[in-house]
Amino acid sequence: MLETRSLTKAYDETVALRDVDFAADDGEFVSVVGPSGCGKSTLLRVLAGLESGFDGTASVDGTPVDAGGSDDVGVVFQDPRLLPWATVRENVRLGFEGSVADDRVDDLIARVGLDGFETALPEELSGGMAQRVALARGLAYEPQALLLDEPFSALDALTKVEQQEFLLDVRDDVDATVVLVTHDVEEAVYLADRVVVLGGQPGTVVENVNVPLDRPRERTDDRLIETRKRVTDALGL
Amino acid sequence: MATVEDHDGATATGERLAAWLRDHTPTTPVSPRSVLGFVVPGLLVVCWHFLVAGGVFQPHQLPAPATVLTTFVAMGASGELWGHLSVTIQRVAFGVLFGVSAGILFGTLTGLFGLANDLLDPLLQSLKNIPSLAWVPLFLLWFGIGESAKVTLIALGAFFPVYLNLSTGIQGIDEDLLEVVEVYDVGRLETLRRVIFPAALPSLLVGVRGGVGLAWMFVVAAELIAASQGLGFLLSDGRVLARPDIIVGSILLFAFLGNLSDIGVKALQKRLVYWG
Repeated sequence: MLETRSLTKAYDETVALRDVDFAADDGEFVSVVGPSGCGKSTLLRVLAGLESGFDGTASVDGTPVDAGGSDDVGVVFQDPRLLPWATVRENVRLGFEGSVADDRVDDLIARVGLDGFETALPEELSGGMAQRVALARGLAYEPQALLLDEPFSALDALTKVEQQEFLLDVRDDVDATVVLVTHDVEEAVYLADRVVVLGGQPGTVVENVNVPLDRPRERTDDRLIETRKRVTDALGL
Repeated sequence: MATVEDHDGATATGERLAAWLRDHTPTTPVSPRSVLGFVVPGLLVVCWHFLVAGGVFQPHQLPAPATVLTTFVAMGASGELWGHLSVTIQRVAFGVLFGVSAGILFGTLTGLFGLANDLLDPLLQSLKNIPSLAWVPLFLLWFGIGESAKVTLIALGAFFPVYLNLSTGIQGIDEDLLEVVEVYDVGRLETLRRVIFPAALPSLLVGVRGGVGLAWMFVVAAELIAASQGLGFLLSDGRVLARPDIIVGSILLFAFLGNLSDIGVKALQKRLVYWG
């Protein structure tokens, strides 16, 4: 579904990624973890078609990202990136292709738990709510793959747990492949089917760790803790 | 029966009046701080009065405030003042209309297209530095002493702030939002309508505010030199007739009108830029 081969990406003199082979299967939930500066966000940006000029290949469903492959990809960024002058409804509408009736947009707003806020402006929302608008916008796009770039890192601990549960909920409704970039090992392991550990500078894939648990999961499950340890070991922590 | 009706009628009127008062009473009373702005000008007028009355200034150089007021009240009563005022306001209005329109056109072009920016911006940046008065002889030569010379000059004044602010506003649009637009394949026209224009609106209005301010400067330049009507003409006529009351009054009227238009644009700004 999502695939990179020998992906190398450099910004001027700095090499962000070197020879990264990454793959996510159809419907798979993959977390990408790594220390700051290992290029994990760059990997996501390449897959989203936001970076031009890289070596190797990156493709979505077999189509190279620079040949329209990234058209089927939705992204939720670290900050919600909502249009400050547009209501929640208009912000979510941006994700739809073509024109849609208010009802359809509002259904989606309700699905992310924001009914009643259709005409609110982004400045009236809390950080968690704004991030859910960004998620609704991503879902509106009906992407084959949803890429999340540290979407919860700016939230407080409690809101973060709430939003994680919420992400799993809405994910049950759509069968998109999900790639979550995060620096939070607990989050990566709890949410994903598989954790890709990046390391080094420039970043390369250090290890792939499968999470051998069905959902719903208990956060305190021994097997999760075990997996977490494997990930932190791979990170060299 | 009649009394009952009267009574009801009175009550209804009373209720209507109460409702009207409720609807028309400002929810936020005029803050004492906004009144403070009138204190210093008021004191200056008082000083002005006593300085003239005390003989520090000669009346043929600086007339007393009451003299200025009487002169203009008389001119208002005779209708002469309204002719000058309306002509000047009309010139400013047309000049602003054309200048802002051209500013929006060129600002959008150079803001959106790098090629247009490379071709036009250096030229426009250097034209910007030509003093307003320098244009006057040329425009008189081209357009004669009619309205078009004046309106063109004012339009030129209003053009630059709008052009500069809008162009940089569009160029400086948040890259993060453009990435969102790219991810969700929002079309070019839709991007303009939903993202770029709203994002550039605050800059545009800053430009319009500057443009309206400059329009008032340029209208004086135009009317001082070649006009037979208008506030600027009144100003130079006051000099020719050795009437300091007319000169001072015209200056004060320019200040008042400039302020009024600025308050208007500011209100528009507040209404249109409702976020942030």
